[in-house]
Amino acid sequence: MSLFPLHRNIAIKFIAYLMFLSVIPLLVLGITSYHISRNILQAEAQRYTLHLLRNQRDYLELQLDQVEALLANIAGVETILQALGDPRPRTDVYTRLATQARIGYILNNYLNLKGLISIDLFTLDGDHYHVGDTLDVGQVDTTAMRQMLRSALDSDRLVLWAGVERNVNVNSTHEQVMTAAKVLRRVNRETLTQEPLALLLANYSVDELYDRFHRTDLGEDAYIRVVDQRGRLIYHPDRALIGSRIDATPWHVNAEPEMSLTAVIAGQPHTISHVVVPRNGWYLESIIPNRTLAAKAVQIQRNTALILSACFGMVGLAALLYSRRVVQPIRAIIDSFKQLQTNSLDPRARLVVPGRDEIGELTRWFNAFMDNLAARQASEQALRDSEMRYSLAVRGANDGLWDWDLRHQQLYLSARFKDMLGYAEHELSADPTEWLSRIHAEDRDRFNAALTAHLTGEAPYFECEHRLRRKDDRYLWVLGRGLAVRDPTGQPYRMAGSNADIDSRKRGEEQLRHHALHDTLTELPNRVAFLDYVHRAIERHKRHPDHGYAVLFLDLDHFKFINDTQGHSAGDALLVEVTRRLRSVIRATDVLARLGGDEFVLLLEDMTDVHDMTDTADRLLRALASPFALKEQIAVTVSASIGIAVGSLAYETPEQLLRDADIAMYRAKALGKARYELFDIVMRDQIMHRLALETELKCAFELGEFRLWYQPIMALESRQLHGFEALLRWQHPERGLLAPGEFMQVLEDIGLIVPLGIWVLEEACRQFADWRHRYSSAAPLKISVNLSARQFRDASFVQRAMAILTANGIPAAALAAEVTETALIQDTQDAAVMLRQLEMLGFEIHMDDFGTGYSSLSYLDSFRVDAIKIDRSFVAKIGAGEGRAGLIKVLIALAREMRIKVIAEGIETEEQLTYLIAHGCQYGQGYHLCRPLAPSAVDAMLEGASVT
Amino acid sequence: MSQRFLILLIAVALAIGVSSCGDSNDRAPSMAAQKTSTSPVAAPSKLASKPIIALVMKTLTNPFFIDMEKGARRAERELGVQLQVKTAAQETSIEQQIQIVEELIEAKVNAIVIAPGDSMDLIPVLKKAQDAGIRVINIDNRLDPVYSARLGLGPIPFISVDNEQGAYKAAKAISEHIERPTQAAIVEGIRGAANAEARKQGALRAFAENPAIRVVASETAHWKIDEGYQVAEKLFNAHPDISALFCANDMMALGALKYLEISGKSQVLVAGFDALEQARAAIRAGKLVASVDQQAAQQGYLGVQYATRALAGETLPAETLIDTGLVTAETLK
Repeated sequence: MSLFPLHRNIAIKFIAYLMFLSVIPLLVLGITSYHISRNILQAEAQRYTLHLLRNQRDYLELQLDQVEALLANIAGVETILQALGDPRPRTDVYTRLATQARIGYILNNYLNLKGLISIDLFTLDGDHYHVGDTLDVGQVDTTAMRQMLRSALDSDRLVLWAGVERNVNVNSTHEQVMTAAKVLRRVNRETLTQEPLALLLANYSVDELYDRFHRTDLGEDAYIRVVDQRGRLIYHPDRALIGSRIDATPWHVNAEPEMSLTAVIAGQPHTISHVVVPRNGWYLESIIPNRTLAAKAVQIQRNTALILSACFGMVGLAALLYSRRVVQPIRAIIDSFKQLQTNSLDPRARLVVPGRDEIGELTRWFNAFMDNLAARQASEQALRDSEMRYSLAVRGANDGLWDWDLRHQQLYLSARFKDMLGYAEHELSADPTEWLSRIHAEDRDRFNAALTAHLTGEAPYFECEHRLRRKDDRYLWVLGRGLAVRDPTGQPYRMAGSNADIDSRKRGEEQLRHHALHDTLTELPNRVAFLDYVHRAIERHKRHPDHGYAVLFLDLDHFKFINDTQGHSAGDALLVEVTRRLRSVIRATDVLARLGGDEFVLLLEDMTDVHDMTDTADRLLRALASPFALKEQIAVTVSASIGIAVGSLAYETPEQLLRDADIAMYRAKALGKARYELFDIVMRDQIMHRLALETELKCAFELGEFRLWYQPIMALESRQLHGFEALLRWQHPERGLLAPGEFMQVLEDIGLIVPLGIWVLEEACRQFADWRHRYSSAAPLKISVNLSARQFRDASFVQRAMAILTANGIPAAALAAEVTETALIQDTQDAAVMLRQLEMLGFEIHMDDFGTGYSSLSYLDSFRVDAIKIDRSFVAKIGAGEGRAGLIKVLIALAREMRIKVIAEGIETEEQLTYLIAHGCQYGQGYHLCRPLAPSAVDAMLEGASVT
Repeated sequence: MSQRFLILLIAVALAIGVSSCGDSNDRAPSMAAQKTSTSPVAAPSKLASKPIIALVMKTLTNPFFIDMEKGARRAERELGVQLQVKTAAQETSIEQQIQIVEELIEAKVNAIVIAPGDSMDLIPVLKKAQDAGIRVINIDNRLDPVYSARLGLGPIPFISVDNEQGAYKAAKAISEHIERPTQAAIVEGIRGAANAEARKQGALRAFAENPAIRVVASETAHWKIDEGYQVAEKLFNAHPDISALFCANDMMALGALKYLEISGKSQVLVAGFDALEQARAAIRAGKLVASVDQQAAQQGYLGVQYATRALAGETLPAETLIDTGLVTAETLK
């Protein structure tokens, strides 16, 4: 860039334009005005100079006239002429001096003329009279005087102007003077001729002339000179030159009396004005250098120069600005383009936008261009990357690609695509219909819908899972995805996409779906699938009310027992066999499902009569009637209880049907098992009642509606108070005080018994401790609390029980846990663990309702039982017949033998009491002895006892 | 880099523009050309620095003043001053002298050295000159001190001779030759002029010392040669026996001698004053007994010198008297 060609530089062009537009005209104007004004000034100066010269000449002539007049006057003074004409010799002193004085007095009168230095009168016979600047006229240049005289005599003029001459009076300080000479003459009377008498000289001061002319100023190096007829300087600004002879100058040849001309002197043009004094041939000249004349135009020149300089400065400034604002940015853009061409430009580089003008806009557009370029490069790069990735992906991925030319109905299928379908690369035609025909019939509608949705623009892309028929006629699950390319009108003309092999995934999904909907053991539909079927049946029934349906809930009786005794594999085998048998007796359209465990459900459709349903139930029961051969030899007999819910328009959800069938099934179980029951509304009411009860119980617990009543346990013989059994009561806000028989089962079922059991223990212990504290002597020895089967499963119970005892300061031995046989049976393992823990802690274990269970006696062997409580059913038999009561005798005897205490429950008559005492029963409780008491009643009782 | 080129371009263009404005290569002194028009031209270029001293004398016909001018010229040369010599036409041209002084005041000379024709009439104009700042030196004839004081004239150095004494010596030279009773007469200078009066007094004193001498007449001839002739004629017509004549200057003495020569009275003893060349010639010729050399040149010289010194600020003596010398046939031998 150090050498940039002129023709390319905008700045120079700009300056040139600017020069042409502004500077050049100004320059021309300035120069023109300068020249014109200079010429005018010069002409004016010439005119003025000439005028001045004329004036000066007139002045000079005036002086000359005066001198001439003066000389004429003197020449006419008779006294002088007489004195001079006196023929007497003026040899004596007196005559000379007197004449001198006489003439002197006269001459002196004429000396007043300004500039006149002296007047001298030289007689032809040698006398000299003088007045003037000096009195000392001792020395006279007689040669000059005589020369003067000759010239005067020769001259035809009355007065001779000799020009600038040396003063004839040598002593005068005025060495150079202008001398005017006049010959005084006198008529010779004899010859009648004019005879010269004397020479009258008037010396006029060149200094006077000098002073006069020197006052004239014509400007620098300009001057006036006055030259006499012999070419000697009368006046010159340089005094030293006065009197000297000037060089001949060319313009003096053929000089006119008045003229102005231009001549070159010492290489410089000068304007010369020339005026002649006619009478004596003197002339005045002004010599003015043209540049002096021009000097007056210098202001214009200077101003022009100044303005031009300013203009140039401004142009320069403008150029600089222009260069900075315009050229540099443009150059930067050019450079950037060059660099762009050579690829050396940093694509991120942006130019600084210099402003809002066009250049700024240009720069912005350049930057925008660069942005675009960068974006394009980036996108190209991205495209390349993308293509690379694409090709890598295509190569790496397993997707089969297709490209469908919609206009020409040509289809391209990638090799992988064909491979997926089991074809070689050269196989399969480019006909799209061939491809579409491979779509599974079930998927075709979906496929076409998805395709149409995308092609019409409804869906942003095409996506459809579908099956394609392979070469081997197997169907392959693929995920087809594609995107249409559209023309500007939005019309698709091409579509491309991929088919991913999702066969294994799809198969896996089907598997999962199957698993989700089927019981793995029996391959029957599971609960979810069954509910779906039921749902459809409900819907169908809504559409066709005459198409009846029913849900059968089948539960194997005692399956748990088999599972427990024979092992789970046996249980599973049994379930599979049960399934097989059930299937064999139902229609293909009936849906059999397994809900879990030993619960099966069956959906029957197209039922018109209830009998059809009961018939089916019968068939099912019969199918299970014959023994099952499990594990070779072992044969098991299994029955089932069946609940039937008949579909009606009242059912909205499958769960409702299932629930009602379940209720009916429970009813069947409750009614003795191995049978079926049809669900009716009453069943549901009972259930609803129970649900309400559950809710009430939960509320009751939270509201503290439970109470503890205490039934005294008496030592029968002594009729002494032995202890209390804490009994749960519910102070129902509407129904009054309720005994546990009405809600105990529900408490157990909903698990509320666990927290309630703790509460019972707490409350009982608190009360017991209170009594022991208040009525120490009369206080009972024991307090009994009932434990339910459910409480055995609460692992924390033992710890909490201990904590409660400790908190109330009650010894463990004072507390008796009453456990029913039923509870022990339900949870043998858990019960055993807990009972052993309680044992170890020192609790007493009382076996409640003893004798009602299957194997009451076996428990006595298994656990350390402190007491048995003989169930009221046995006590009630006392008095009813000998045989029946005999069992009590045996029980008492057995307990005594095992050193176990016996507590008889439900003693209601004196007879019973007597009987029990008679047979050695130590303790007992019952209405006959004492009804259960509210705590306040116990207080009163203990109060009375302690008083006595 | 483009900027540098631009600047160069501008500079070139500027140079072209400026040079095309005028053909002169040297424009610098153009200012001076305008200025010179206001500068004073009247000052004489060569003598500008020199003080101008004017010497004003009484007459152009008395050679005494030629000597005086010569002395002044010498001082002019020696002291580097510019001397202007002004002279009234005649001794009686007092008005002309006054006019001359007026002109000098006008011309603003620095100093005036004046031999006043009258001791009183010139005082006012000299006062005017003093007021104009011009130094005034008085030579030859003294200005009247009383009048000077009255008119407020500042102190003016006075250079002259003892006119009374000089006149006394000259008259004494005549008186010495007289032993018989003799009639004597005096031709006076301008009456009222101090030197004229002093010389008359000196002559009278000398004559009075000689009992033989009786002064019969005393007339003025106004210092002039032709009046000297005429006054002599008048005196001798009135007193034919006069044989001793003192003339207050040589010019009047020469005029008287001319009368005596014409009338053939060769025995009359005549004395003059000034010791002019012509008078000396007459003394040598035995026509004139004595004259008094009052060193006119010295007076002229001192006058210019004093003026120069006064201009330099020196205080000068109020009165400087130059010795006079009696010139007789004896002294000229």
